[in-house]
Formats: sequence, structure tokens, C-alpha cells
Amino acid sequence: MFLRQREPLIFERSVPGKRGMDLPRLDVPEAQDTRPAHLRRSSFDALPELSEVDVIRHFTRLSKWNYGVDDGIYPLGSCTMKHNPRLNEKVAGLAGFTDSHPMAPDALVQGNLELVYTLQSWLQEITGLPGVTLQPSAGAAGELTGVMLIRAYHLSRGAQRRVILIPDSGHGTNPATAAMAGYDVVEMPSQPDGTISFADVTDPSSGKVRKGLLSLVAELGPEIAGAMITNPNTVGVFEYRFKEISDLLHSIDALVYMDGANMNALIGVARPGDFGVDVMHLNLHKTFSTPHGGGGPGAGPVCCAEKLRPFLPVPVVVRDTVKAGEGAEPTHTYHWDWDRPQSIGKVHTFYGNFGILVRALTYCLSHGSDGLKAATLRAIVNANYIRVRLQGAYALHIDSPSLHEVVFSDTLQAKREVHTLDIAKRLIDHGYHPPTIYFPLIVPGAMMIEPTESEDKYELDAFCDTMLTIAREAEEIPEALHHAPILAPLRRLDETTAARKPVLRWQKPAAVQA
Amino acid sequence: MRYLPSSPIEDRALLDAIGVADAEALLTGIPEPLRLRRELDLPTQSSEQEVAGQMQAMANRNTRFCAQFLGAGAYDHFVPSAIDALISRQEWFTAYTPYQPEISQGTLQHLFEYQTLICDLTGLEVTNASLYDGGTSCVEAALMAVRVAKKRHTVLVSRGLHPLYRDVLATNFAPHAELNLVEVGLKDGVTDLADLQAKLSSDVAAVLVGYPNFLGAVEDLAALAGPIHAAGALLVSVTQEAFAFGWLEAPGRVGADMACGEAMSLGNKPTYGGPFLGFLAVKDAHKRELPGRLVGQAKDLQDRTGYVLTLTAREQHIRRDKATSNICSNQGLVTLRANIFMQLAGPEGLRGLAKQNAAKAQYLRQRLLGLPDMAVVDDQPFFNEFVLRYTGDYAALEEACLQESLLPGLDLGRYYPEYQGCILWCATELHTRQMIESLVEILARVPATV
Amino acid sequence: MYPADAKYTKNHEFIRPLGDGTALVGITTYAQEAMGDVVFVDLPEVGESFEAGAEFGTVESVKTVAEIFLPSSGEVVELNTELESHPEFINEDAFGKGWLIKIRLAGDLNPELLDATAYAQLVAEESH
Repeated sequence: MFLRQREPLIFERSVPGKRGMDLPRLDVPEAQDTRPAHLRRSSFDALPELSEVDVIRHFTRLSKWNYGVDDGIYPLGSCTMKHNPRLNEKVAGLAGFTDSHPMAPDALVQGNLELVYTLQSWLQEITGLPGVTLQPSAGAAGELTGVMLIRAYHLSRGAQRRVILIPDSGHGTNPATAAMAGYDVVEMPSQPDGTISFADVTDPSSGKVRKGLLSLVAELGPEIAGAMITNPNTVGVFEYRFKEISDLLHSIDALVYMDGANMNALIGVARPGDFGVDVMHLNLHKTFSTPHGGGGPGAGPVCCAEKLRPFLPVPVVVRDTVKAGEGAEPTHTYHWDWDRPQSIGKVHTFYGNFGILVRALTYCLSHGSDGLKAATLRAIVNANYIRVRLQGAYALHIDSPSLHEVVFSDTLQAKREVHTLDIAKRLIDHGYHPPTIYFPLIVPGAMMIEPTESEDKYELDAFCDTMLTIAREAEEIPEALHHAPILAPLRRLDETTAARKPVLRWQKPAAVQA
Repeated sequence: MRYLPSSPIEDRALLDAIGVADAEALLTGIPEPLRLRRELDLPTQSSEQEVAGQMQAMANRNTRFCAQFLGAGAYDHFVPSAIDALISRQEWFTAYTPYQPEISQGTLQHLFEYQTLICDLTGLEVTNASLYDGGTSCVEAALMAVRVAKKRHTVLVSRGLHPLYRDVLATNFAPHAELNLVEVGLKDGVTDLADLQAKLSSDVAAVLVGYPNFLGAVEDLAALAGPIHAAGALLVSVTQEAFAFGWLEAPGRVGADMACGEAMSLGNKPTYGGPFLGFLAVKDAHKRELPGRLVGQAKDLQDRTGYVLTLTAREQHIRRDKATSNICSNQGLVTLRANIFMQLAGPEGLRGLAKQNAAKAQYLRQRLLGLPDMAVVDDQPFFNEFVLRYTGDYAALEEACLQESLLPGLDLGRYYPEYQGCILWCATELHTRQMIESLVEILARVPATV
Repeated sequence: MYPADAKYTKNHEFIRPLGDGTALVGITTYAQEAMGDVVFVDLPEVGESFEAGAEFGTVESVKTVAEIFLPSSGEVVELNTELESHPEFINEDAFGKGWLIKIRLAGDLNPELLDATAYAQLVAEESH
């Protein structure tokens, strides 16, 4: 599956005089050099000289060392690696969108504004929350925007609250976000199924007592600005006491933030606005299939309750309805409202990752209400099918059905000194991308598998068969798994030395010696 | 639904294997009162043909132009065909963050090359695998400077910095009561040295300066670096037009300790402001405070060179609330566009393009100044943007331009009251002499204000 | 395994008085084993003073980071600068060349510290 030949760093391919770009003829006089002498660009030390052929081959060969969604199941739990429809790419490339300038007057970008308005209305209905901003560029940016809305809400009521509660099963972005928004993080212990513990939890080995939700609320009460809760949680379980949690927090005027990373398990089935969520983000690159791009760009729209709407980032899109006369069909125009005195301000230079929004709306229109719900159900069925097929061979973290993902651990294999990392690397030899490993942190040796709705039975069976083969290998040739992968372009990499003596860019050999 | 593998036969087989009657039976973990017991009030599914038509119609409702003389942070440049062709390979655009290095060497080696080239452009030593955009790059730079400087709480921001970058900074500094964001004024279109000196103190962690600034003027970083460094603060150079790196000396070589900004110009269209490409490059000594992902070289078990995500203990998934930032997803695919662009351009291409941009902008300025109602404001060196005072009525000028499918420069008074009646113009390699002449001709016909 | 001339914290730091009013501080063998390969240590500046129990630095491995707390109040008088280029010393010899900082003790040694026997017992309980 992989290209066997080595592809060197492009800098080693550079040959003076090669050109990969021919410039147009200059039809105006040459530029006068008005730069102060010391501000004239001097040398470049790394930019290579290549032809277009070199560049195309370089990136084509490099690509063959990657695994993509079209290669097969990409079972990364929590990341929702679903099919990326080609229509969405094509539409996002329409010149009407790509050529439009973010500083252009509203009247000239009515298509863009209509798109923003329409996508917002879909997200409103899907979440049951009336306020929406599409500005945040990623999930973490959405979290930050959401927590800043919470902060603005409390300030508007004259309160300076300092604490955000976060369960220990949460994504690392949650506590990092709360800190960036100026809050102290207080961790809530979770129960084994990842749901939040109301009662205090005693650690069986150290005997340390960790305060549960009830104690924290009693103790910190008016200091608590809100809580950030992933739902379904990172173990794939619906936080079944969510309404109680939100009622409890609301009783002390604290707000509830929902991390919507797993919203693909709820669309059409349940709406956060109906169970007490005040503000949440969605990951368009997970739930709405916009491509992951090797790490981004994503988009992290924020949806919020009415009471938080005044604080949404500027500008906010507004639809104006015009009726030409009696009986005439109303027509719509759109404009940005910048005059929002209570707004937290801007969170992106312009309007967010607009090209991603185009793809997400295309996804919505293609699926429709029925397709969105069908996708939710199929994702849940697929995860449970994997659960059923692999249980016994791998230790399930919890016995009950999960929603869109399923978490195993390496408990059974560990008896033969085969660990999650070995299993993950062996999957590469068998031609698959590994699942998310060692997360959530509350599950030792976690393997978190999320098949998404895109896989059919054939693909699911092929993956499960491979996982069962690896479980057998772990019994029969445990030592061999420590060497995996052996069929990938590279064997395991020495991350320790990489971190101890970091080499973070290429330098000319002479410069390295100097 | 074409994207779902559903069929009645297969659905039954899966449900039987699980041992449930229907999918509903798997939802029992959601308490009944929280279930949505109706269909979403949204249109039902549509064919590819229908959706394509609907989206095309939406795109068509945007006005198209023959030429845009508007830059202001989003630049219209030519995009080589190789970029779209390459990034359309599924191995690039559908892959995830390279957490499993053995199966992600393509993305990792690309990012290592990208990091190398951003360091080359900026003259600094370490850069990350991208930030969201220019505005948020300023936030990360400013917060990083505060961490590096230790026990300093003030960040000075030149008024010449993009006004929307300053807005994003203000939003993100608001929650931090212990930090101050203080503006340094402009004099003659560049950062006012006297005002800067007055505001520098032992509490200042960093000073952010546009290079070139929003008004297009080339700030003399070397001259600003002296007093900034003398006060023990860091100079952060903010570039919103990456083509300037082919014209102006690398900020790291003229006194900048950090360089951040917007690199959308490297292979992207304006796309209504995103996805763009935030960058942040720093000195090696400060690398532990850098936010975001970093790719480093590593050896495999057979001593072959490969690449891995490294220094990850800075990041949110390990350090949680003590992380250098909350950033996780970045602008991955946009870094690929930029990398391909830089490799195609090479040193001569980048210099050549920059020279053409400067030539076009100079020609545009010279031709506009031939009009009776256009006048010089601050006579500073510039790259591909500049400000002129317009004694006519901007609305009338805009209307005349739009009639002829030209997008005029920015009405600067909206962001800078002191520049009321001034226009920020931009020209790039895409602007032909013919386009510039058309613009001048149209402007010459705009009726003078009464 | 745990030197008797040192005292220990429940957070797995050690402090080893040198008899001249100063003491070496580091993390224990048990702590470095739990962390895995150490790749970086972040230490305070010479001249800084900390109360007992205050965080004075961090130790990083590839996959985790640990905050380190001062066992007993004092002023930092010396850093183990060797660790900048050889963080592996912590893994190889935590009680020897893997020490982190030397402090001048402010007053008596923190009375709440564990002796080697009590610490060994704690470790045995935690790793059972």
C-alpha cells in the first residue's frame, strides 16, 4: 500500500536555475526601489529551486505515505472521520465564493451572507439554541468564544466568578480554554462510564478523596461561572443526568457549556437546547464532514441560548425581508450588524473559515433532516456492531451499549505484555489507521473506536476481522507485536531523542556546522 | 441517501448481530424526556444535482469583479494550478492530524518543510504548524511574549496594526485583568517613536508592529528595535501580506524577536476571509513557550530519518490548563497550499512576484495621483498598498467603480477617523495596466462633489 | 533503594541536606520510572525563594509533564545546568547526577517529610 522508495527533503532536490513558476510579462515600468537599504530583502537560505514537475512528484510521493478516509475505515474515536463528499469540495471552489473579498460591502456579497444565515438556521434547529456565530475557526476557538460568552454574561450581572468545572474525562482543550479565558479550572471526578459523579469519589489506591459535583457546588457556589461538559462524553455515553446537572448549576446562576465534539451522536435524536445547555460548539470538521486536511482547517460554530445572544461576537448576520407589494413574494436581503454594544468583540479577523462553512451547508442540504438523523442512527449502529464483534477478544471499558463510539482497553493483551501502542502499530501493518489511543485519560490503555456512519458491513467486518487477528497474534506471538509496524515506510520513531534534541527545520549543511 | 451505506438487508444483519430490534433500542441511554420526538424542521435530503444548483445560485448572488483594488488583509494573487490538483489528493485533504507518525509521514515531512520555509521567510528559528489567521496569531504572539518576558504585564500595539487584528487582540485580552493592551499612536503613517518611547517601561513584555503596516507603510523595524530592546521588551513583527517577504528584509534579521501574521497570500484566494493561514515564528530560546503543533526530525529503529510531532508537553492534550494555548485543529491544508506555493515560486519567483507587486502598486499610485482629487497623505515607502486622500465623495466613487465591475480601495475613515476621506489602495501581479487605466478613467468621470 | 540521608514527599520529590545549610532537591527513582524518558526540565532562577510545597518547576517526558514542588522552604542557590543537554541523567541516576536544584534552607527541614522507610512503604502501596 505504501510507496517503498524514499522521498528526500525537497531542499536536497534544489538545483540553482530551476523554475517552477513563470512570471507574467511586466506591463508597467519596473518598480522604483524606495526601500531603506537595510530593509531590502537579502538572501533566502532554504527556498528551493525546482520545476513544476519536481514539485508535483514530491507532493504526490509524499502523499503516498499518508492514510486517508478513502483508503478505508479511519477509526479515530472522537475525531469522526467520515466520508468527505466531493460535491462539497467542488462547491467550495466556486469562483463566486473564492473570489469574494471579506472587506467588500454587504450588498456585493449577498450570496455569502445568505449562506451564513442559512447554515446558522440549520444549526439553530439542530441544537435547539437560538443564537449562533460561525466565526470560530476550530473546536477550541469555539470553546474559547463560548466561555467568553459565559464571562460576559456574569459581568453583565455584576458578578466576577472565577471557576469553571470540567470533568476529568474531558478533552484537554476544555481546561486549556478555561485558562485562556482567565478562569481557574476545578476538576470534577467521573464515574467509570465517564459520566460526572455527583458524590465524592475515593481513589482506591491512594485513598485520596475527590469532591463530586454536589460538594463542589456547595463549596464553591457563587464562584462557579459554569461547567464544560462533553455530551455524549468521551466514553461515548450520554450524560444521563444532564438535566439534573444543568438545573443544579442554573440554581446557582452558573451556566452550562456543552462540548459538542460528539454531536454526531445526537442530531435528530436529542437537542442540547432541550436539556439545559446554555452554550456549545459544533465541530463542522467532525459532525458535518468537512475534511480534516491533515490537521485543519476546521470550524467551530457556537450556538447559545437567548440570554447569551447579546454577547455574540461581531458582526452578526441579519436578514431583512422586503415585500414589493400586496400578495408579492417576500424577498430577502442580508447585512452584517456591527452595532452590538454588549458583544465580546471579534474572535477571528473576518468571518471564520468561510470555505469550511460552504462545505458544511452543502452537507446539510444533501442530507436533509431525514439524512442527518439516518446518519446519526447508522453511526450508533456501526459502533455497537464493532462492540459486539470485538467484545471478548478485547476488554470493553463498559458493558452497556454506547452511542457513536466504543472504548476498549488492553487489559487482556497486557497479560502477555502487549499494550495498546503495540496493537495500534500492528493495525498499520494490516493496512489500517489505528484508533484513538490512551484517551480518554480515565481509561488506562484506552482504544477508542469510532467507525462513523460511512462504513458498510463489508468494511466493518474487514476491520473487525483484522482486530481479531491481532488479538490472536497477541496470544501467539506477543513479542512480534512489539516490533510493529514492520510494513510501513518507517519503523517506530524515537520520539524521546526527537524531543531531547529537537530539530525543527532544515538548515543548509554549512549553517549546521557553523 | 448516497453517502450512507444503508440498505434494509444490511441494516437488519447489523441489528441482529447486535441483538436489538431497531436502532432506537440503542438510544435507551438518553432519558426519554430529553429525546426529540419529532423530525427536525428542515428540508429533507436532496440529490447532488439539486444541491449543486442551489449552491451555485448562492455563489452567483455574490457580485463578480474584473479587478479588486482592495487588499486590507486579504490579497488577490494568482494561484498556480498545481496547488488545487495536489491538495485534491485524498491522502492530503482527508487525512487527520499526524498523531501516528508511521502512517502519516507525508503530512509530517510536508510540515517540516513548511516550518523550514516560514523560518526562511521570517528570518527566525522556530515556527509551528500554523495558527488560524492573522488576528489570532497576534493573540498567540502577545500571550507568548507575556510568558517569555515573565512578570511583565503590558503589551503595546501600534495603531498601524490591522484594525481587525487589534479587535481580536482586545477580545482575547479582556478576560485577563492582570494584562494591559496599550495602543501606540501613528505619526506620518508609521509608529510614533516618541509615543512608543513614552509608553515603554519595565512592565512592557512586547510591542506589536505591522510590517508593512495596515496603511501599507514599511515600518523601520531596526529603528524601533533599539528602544524596545533597551526596555527589555520583545519586538513582534506582524505581516498581513506574505508577499512582502520577497521585498522586505526578513523581520528576524532587522530586530524582530517574533514574527507573526497572515500568510494567505501564499496560494489562496480571498474566499471571504477564510480559511487563511496564521503563522508565528520565534527564536530558538523561546521555543518551549510556542503554542500549537511542532514537527521535528526523528530516527526510526533502523536509523532512518522520519518526522514526528514533538515538544508536545506544551500542548493542551498533555498540559491541560497549563498549556501554552488551547489550539488543537489548525490550518493544516492551508499550510500545504503555502508549502507548494513556496516551492514552486522559489527564491526568484518570490522576489519576482514581490517586485511586480511593488511595480503595479507604484504605477497605480502614480496614475491615481494624476487625478485632480487624489493627493499624497504620508509619503512613506510602501509595498503593494498605499493611502491617498480623496477630496471627492467615496460613495460616488464606489458606485462608479461597481458599475464597471471594479472593486475600489478601502474607505479608510471607517477604521481611522483621522484618515477620513482617505482610501487604501492595493495592486498585485493580477492587475494589468489595462485594469489600472480603466480604473483611472472611471475615476476621472466621477462627478466632483458639490 | 531510597537513600537514608534524604527526606521525601508524597509527591515523590527528595531533599538531601548537605550539612552546610544547603540541600539538593530532585525527583525520586520511582517518579522518573513512572514518567518515562525525561526530555526537558524547567527550573527556576537562582535567587528565587519558595515556601515548602510551592511549585518550582516542571519535568517533561514525551507524553506527560509533572509539576515539582519544593520539599522544604528555601532559596535557590544552584541549578543542575547539565540537565539542559542531558535530561536523561534523571532517568539514569535520579538521586545522583539527576538532581534538579540546590537550595539554601530557610530554617529547619520541613517536619512533614517522610524518611526513606516511610517513603518506600508509600511507594509499595501506590504500585501494588
